[in-house]
Amino acid sequence: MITSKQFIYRFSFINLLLILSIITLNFGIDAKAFHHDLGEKGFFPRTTENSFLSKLHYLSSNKIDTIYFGSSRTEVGLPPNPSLVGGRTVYNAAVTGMGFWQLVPFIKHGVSLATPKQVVIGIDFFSFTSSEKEGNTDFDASLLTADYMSYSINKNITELKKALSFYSIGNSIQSLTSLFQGKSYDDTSEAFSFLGQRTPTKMHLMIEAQGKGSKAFHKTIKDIYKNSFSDTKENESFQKFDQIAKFLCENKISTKFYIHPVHALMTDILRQKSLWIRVENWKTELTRIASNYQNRQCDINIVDFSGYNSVTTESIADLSQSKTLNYYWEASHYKSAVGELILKRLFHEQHDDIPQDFGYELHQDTITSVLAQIRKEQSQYTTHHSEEIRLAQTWSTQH
Amino acid sequence: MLFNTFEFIFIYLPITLLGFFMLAKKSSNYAATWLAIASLVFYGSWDYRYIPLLLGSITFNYWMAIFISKIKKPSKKRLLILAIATNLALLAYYKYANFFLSSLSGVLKLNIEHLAIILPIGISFFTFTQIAFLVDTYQNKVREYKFTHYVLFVTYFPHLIAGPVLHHKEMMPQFAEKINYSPSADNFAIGTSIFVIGLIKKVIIADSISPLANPIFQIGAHPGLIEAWIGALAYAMQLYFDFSGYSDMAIGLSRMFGVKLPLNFNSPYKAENIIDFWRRWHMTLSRFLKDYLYIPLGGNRYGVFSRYRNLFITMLLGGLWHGAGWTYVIWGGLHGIYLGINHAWRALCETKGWQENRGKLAIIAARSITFTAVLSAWVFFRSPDFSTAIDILSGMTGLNGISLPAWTKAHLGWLGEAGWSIKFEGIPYIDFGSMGIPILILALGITWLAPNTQEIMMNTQPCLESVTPEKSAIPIKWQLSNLWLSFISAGFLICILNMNNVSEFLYFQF
Repeated sequence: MITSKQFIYRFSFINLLLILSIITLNFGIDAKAFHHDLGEKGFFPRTTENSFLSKLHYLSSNKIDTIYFGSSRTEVGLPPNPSLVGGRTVYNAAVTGMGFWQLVPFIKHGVSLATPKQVVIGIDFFSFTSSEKEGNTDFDASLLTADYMSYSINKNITELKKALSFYSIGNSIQSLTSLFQGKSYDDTSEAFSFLGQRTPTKMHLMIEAQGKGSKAFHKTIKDIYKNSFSDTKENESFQKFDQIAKFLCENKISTKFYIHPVHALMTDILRQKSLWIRVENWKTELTRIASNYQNRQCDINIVDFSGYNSVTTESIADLSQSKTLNYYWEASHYKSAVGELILKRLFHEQHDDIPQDFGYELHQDTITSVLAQIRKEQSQYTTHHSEEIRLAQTWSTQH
Repeated sequence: MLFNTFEFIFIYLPITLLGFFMLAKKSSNYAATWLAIASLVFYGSWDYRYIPLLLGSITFNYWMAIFISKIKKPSKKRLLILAIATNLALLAYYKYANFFLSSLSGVLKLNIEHLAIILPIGISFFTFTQIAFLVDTYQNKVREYKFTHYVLFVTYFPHLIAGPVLHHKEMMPQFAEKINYSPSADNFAIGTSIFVIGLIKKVIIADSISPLANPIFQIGAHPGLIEAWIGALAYAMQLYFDFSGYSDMAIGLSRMFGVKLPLNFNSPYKAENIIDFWRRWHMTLSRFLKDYLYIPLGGNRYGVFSRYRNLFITMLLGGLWHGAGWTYVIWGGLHGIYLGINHAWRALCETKGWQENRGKLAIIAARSITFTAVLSAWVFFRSPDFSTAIDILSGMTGLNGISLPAWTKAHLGWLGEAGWSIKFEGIPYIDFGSMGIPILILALGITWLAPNTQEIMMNTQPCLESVTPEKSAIPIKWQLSNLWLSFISAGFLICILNMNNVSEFLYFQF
């Protein structure tokens, strides 16, 4: 038996000691690189994999000329190659799973702290209509501020809390094990990310986890068939789009919105679900909002890479268990080769590599003809690829 | 700020305790004032805009009580009615206005816009607490009218958000007790242990089980037999461990300040009938509904029919108190019917002279029937709408078919051929790889076989009521020992290391 005082003293001593030790160990090791740059050399092995916090750390501690924002499509597809964006410093700040509703505070934060001159933002109809439940789960709006000091305080508090978890203990154990075995944290010789972009090494592993080439492609198509495409969310997303355009316009930042070139089979689900009118109205409304700021002499434009062009209609005939397409990891995520074409089209109007039908600028004066052109391409695609479309429909019901 | 957050445990609580006992050395009045202010800060951490509402409500009710205590009948009664009506109007506006508008829209087929109202957290609790104070003042049962103690009684942070529903006669004398203003190692040791037990219930058990329940209760989920049962059982356990965990934490926290709270849960799923269930579940609310609704309605004083009617009305309103939705009303109505059947059965047994069977099998049967009835009612309580509840109940009765893992087809394929509606495509919604299922099984075991917190802590008189322990399969008694110190310390540390994914307590929404 012990006395009440002994009980309390011992309880406080044991727990304080353990808690402080765990925090010190996990915060110091920082296995998930929340306050170290990814790939930075250090005593402890750390991940090279992107996360919301690691991107926030990079944006908050570096001055960057060009920043890409968006979801995983941008994160995977757009190479942070300075020569493609005008020989300047560049960072891919797109975050996997980031919902459109999460973009506004994230862009404001990134732009305020990293002070870029130009931004590239990937958008699509799918993320405009997704619910707030679908978003990056690590996203923490309380960290997003325009002021470095308050960001820094909040970030450190958040990290201390995160350090006090089984998750962090597991990561630290992995780091220490790697240290003693002389391996890298992620157990690969190549990094999982480069300047914010997910590398092919990581993508190969992810595609493998999804059952390799054709299975991963089927799964993406199947998931899109299940989408509800909420029109309430679409209306809210227009407001967010307007807020982004307004903020960037007021801060005199050159802004290039682009619509993702997801595979035509994925886009075609919207036609099959009788949503094509909504897609066209969506593009028209984006164009109208952007024109408000173009009329104020702001450098804002939208280029549409979606639809049925030479890139997006890549045949799936060669798709197999062991092989992905040339342009796509799966239906939703395009490869860097496509990202390069996008950046060339966005930053170098004329370029021999770019197919003529890849990337239509959406402008008040041309929107009607662009939509008509895409409809024409759609009609050709549905005629010439009817077998592929029928096949994709069967995937939606597969288990 | 939730009890299960770092901010509460490592910042708010130590500062509040330190301030309270330091000021208590100078004056108990300073300490009480400090605790009341700290409680308002706690309340304001959710939304500071509702602090004026809470303070306004407290001031109004305090002065109404003073007036009621000083004037004579019939004005006294009129003033009481006015004061209660004002409280109910406030509650009706914040909690039920949009429910009323949407019901009206449905009936009149109109598109009436909802009001932009945010429900002030804990409004149901602080409104009920104060109505009881007004009624007792009218009945000359109130002995103390010290304003500081009244403010503290209403705002006292351990109970403010989700109860227990306190009664002034058991709280205000404790705030007046000088000995409670001196720090006591006994109270700290006992309070910490109870708090940690509550924290384990919430963080380890309730939060691990909730992912099993959530997908089943989505609109259009259409669960099969296995998913429906797992989902319903998971919710029943989640709600119990969440709410009783919160109540334990409240009791433990209060004990650190030397104040005992009333018991709120007493192993409700061990109840052998519905009357017994309501003596064990959310006991302080049951007490309030009985004293301030059922008895004023007439109770059992005007014959059998009026008794059943009063019971039904009480439970219906009790359901509505939980939330502004028809599913809550149905839940309350079901319990009203259950209670009616239970009373009728008792009356029949008495008339026929049937003796109660206290054999083991009879007890198991009684508990099973009671639990199944409670479980079916929880389906309405949790479902977003009536049709989802019916869909889940259909699933529980097998009407939605059964889904089994593909590997079972080799052994059970014959069932399909025998005409059973079975699919061998895996069990949707349930993640068997997570800790959810083992913890659900553990929760069921604890619920039926283990003693509850009050029984474990019985040696320390943990709450206001004296607890008579039930015979439990696993007898456990807390004591000041290194073994218990190790258990409480380990439990605390495990909870802390699991606290990054904080979830709210279910009863905060009521």
